[in-house]
Amino acid sequence: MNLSVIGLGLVSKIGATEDLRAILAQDQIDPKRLPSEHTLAIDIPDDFKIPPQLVRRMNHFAKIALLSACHALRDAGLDDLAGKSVGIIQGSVYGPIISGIQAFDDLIDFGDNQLSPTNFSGSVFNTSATYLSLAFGIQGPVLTHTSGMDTLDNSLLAASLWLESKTVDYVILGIGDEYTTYFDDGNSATNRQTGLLPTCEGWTTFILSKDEKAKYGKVEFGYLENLPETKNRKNIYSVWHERIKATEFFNHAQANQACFPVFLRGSYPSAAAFDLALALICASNETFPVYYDSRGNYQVQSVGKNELISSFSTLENGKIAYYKTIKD
Amino acid sequence: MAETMERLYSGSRSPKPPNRIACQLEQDYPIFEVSGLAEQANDLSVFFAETAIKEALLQSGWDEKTLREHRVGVFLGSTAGCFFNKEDYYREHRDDKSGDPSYIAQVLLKGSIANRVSKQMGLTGPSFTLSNACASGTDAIGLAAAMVEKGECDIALAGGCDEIVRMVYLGFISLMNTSDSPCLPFSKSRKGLNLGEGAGICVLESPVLVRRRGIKPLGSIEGYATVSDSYHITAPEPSGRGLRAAFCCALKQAGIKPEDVAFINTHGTGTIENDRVEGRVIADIFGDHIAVTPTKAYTGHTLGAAGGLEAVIATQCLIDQKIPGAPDYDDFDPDCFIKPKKGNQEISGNYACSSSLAFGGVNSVIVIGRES
Repeated sequence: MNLSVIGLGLVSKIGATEDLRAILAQDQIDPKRLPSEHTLAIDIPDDFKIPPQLVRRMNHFAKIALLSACHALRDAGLDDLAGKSVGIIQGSVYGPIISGIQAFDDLIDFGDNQLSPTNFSGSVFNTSATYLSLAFGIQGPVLTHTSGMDTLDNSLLAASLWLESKTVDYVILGIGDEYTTYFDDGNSATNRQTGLLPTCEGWTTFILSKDEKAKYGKVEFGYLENLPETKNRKNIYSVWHERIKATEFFNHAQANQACFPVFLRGSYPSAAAFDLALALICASNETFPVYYDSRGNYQVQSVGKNELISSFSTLENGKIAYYKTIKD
Repeated sequence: MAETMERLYSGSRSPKPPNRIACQLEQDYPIFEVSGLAEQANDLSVFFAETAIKEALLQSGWDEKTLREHRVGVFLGSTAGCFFNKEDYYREHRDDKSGDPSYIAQVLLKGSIANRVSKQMGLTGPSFTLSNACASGTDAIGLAAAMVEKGECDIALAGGCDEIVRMVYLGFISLMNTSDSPCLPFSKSRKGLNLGEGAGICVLESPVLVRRRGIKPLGSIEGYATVSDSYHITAPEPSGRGLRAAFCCALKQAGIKPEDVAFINTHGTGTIENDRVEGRVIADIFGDHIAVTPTKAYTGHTLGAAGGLEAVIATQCLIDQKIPGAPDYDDFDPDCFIKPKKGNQEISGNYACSSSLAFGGVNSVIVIGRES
């Protein structure tokens, strides 16, 4: 199953897509020199022409998603969506958890008759999809889901359904999570070791289409066991959500061209989307940050045109999914 | 299922003040609460889903062991089950710091409701938890049908599940669209919705598998569409353009005309604006004499479960060739254009529509066919 990626939009601790490109333009990357903020300041630039009164009503969760979508649409050259057939898919593991917690706080601090309608409505999972449809005037299909570690996989599956059935010509596919101090008060070290508890936040948006020549090429996805190239794993430049899984894979194959991008994006459960975006950008740049030494430094290597760059993540059923980049 | 249909056809309903959840308000608002569930109170949405899945599998002739030999997907719509039901733990932790702050994260990281149901049953197909607010159940069925058609799974367990929790009960009161008396969809006297809870699940099966098993399906998903209003965060677009488009796309996908539709299981929450917009669109497309059944008058608004429950009810109504009407009122609002009949109504035809309007301007419509 192939999907054309015509635009990317990142909101991450290192910035947007161009900031990631700048990091990848260095010969070496020292993670200690990268920003380490947990919560990102979200400012929607005026030149995206989103009505300010709409932005004022949005919570942090929706703003992250919107900024990411704005970047992605601009990257795709789709600043004006008038007359275009567009659908929205949004996926998140935690959803708008800050508004949800604020709504709980309303009940605890002020009583049962003092729940803020703003906090309540902001805590509904499809709030980001709603604001995207309002901001861009999209009167098409809109889908929000929360599918745990399957969020990226399921989102791509749903997008391919819409595109193959010609339900829409473009899909704005956004995936991410927001950070809350509630999960991270210093007592969660054990859980953080899983790499899943949020130490940061971020959102990744892909603009997908079926037929167009794709700026970032195509993405093919499936189970690792069905990836033909696994027989010759040395030639795979791989981005891994979980380092432990990569170790299992590489011990077998004795390969070492891997990147564990937690140093670029922090840790949050839906970050497999960032990892795929990183793989796509690396494929278009023809460079790749390879894990270099035990101090966590990375060396940016040139990658041949025909070499495979893929990201991987572990799904809810324990299987490993691959997301293979294919150049147009 | 049998009890639900009996209740609907009998015209009786009994929304009551909340029993399981405790609130300190000057006034109670009636809800349709499932009683006798205290032991499962921590995970009711999952419990409802699993209970409905068991009944649906029994009816479809599958046992869980044989089911695992196929690629089975789980597609569930839910809202409260995604986060709102974690208030007790948050309150405990925030007040005395006795809990692990990562508990809620860990619950969420165990996977969504569909993930958990799928793992519990040992299934291997895709598992989606749709959280498109009140259209979630309809969207789950629509997406599942497309996945089966595309061959992503052989069988899909699809529908919705949701529970009434304090946050949702108090949240709808804060939005001022909850009625302090039994809800009256499409009535001049309507004041808002009554919340409900439960699950409605369909077992969707590929035609190949149906033929191989030699079974006669209860119905079929013939069409589905979802269209955004792009108008307002909570209010429906007044002309109903999104809902109109959803009906038209779903009918087109089903390859049928409005006159082929025997009845519509309306969203019909009993809120002022939603009923007006929905009624107007239905009357425009199908004519103001189309048979309609506002089943939320009997089940309450079950939010993420509603689309699942209503698809199941509509399928049974097609089989029975009759629909339940409005329970005990007939002062229908002329601004809504459509008029549910008081009492049961005989219908004749092979297709039904079920519509869902949701927070964020989501409009979803499903077309159900009767196996003839």
